[in-house]
Amino acid sequence: MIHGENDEPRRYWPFEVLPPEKRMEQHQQEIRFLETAQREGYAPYMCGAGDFGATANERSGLIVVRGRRRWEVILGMLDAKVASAFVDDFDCAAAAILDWLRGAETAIILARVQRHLVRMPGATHSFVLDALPKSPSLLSSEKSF
Amino acid sequence: MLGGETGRDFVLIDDSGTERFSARLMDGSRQLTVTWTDNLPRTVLRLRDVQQLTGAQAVSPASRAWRPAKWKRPSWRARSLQTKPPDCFVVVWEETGGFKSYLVRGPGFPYLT
Repeated sequence: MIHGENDEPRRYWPFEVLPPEKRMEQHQQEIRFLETAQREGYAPYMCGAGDFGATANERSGLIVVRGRRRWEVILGMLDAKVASAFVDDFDCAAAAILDWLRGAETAIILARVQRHLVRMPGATHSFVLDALPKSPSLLSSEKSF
Repeated sequence: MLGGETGRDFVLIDDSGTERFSARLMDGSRQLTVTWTDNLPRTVLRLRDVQQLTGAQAVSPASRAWRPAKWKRPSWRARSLQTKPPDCFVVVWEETGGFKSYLVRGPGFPYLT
């Protein structure tokens, strides 16, 4: 879990969802994210007021509802936030999280979401980059040199 | 929501159509989740925004007396925000080391979705 971001109970996929006839496009997008993440071996979940997340080893990602049609993509590593961005498209947020879990660098992620970045009212930036924490795997790599 | 849960979104929109405050209350829940309020993260709430949203007044539990909203500080750190009856909200927030409870009550949310 990314420290301080969301400590609400998680519902791990799969769980019971709306029947197809009651689903809206937003629900379809959410299911696509959950199914893709699970298929690739991550542990996708839903929590809070419609937030979604998944984890993979040291990496984690969160899609946090920020009002209507706005989401915050939060990339985490070792319980620390690495980067976050506000976007206006759920599919874009989901793709960013999946890319992050697959091992992409933050610069790649930000390039991917660039077209959908939004500045929230009162916010100074549409994205924030934090310091990358030292990972044990990175440390072991360093030792091998 | 995806799991079939239902609820309401409460949104405060400014003249330009921008959402300055949004919150979600799930049916059967006593927890109002603030999803955005100005430049503050979700756990930080401007009480005056809630008051404006609800057309509310604030009351101290110590006095139990209603009084006009008077809180002019720019922000308060909300520890939790819970509903009692649908038109009432209890805001518990941190104030210089302690926690105080205030009841924020209004005729209802003007911006329902």
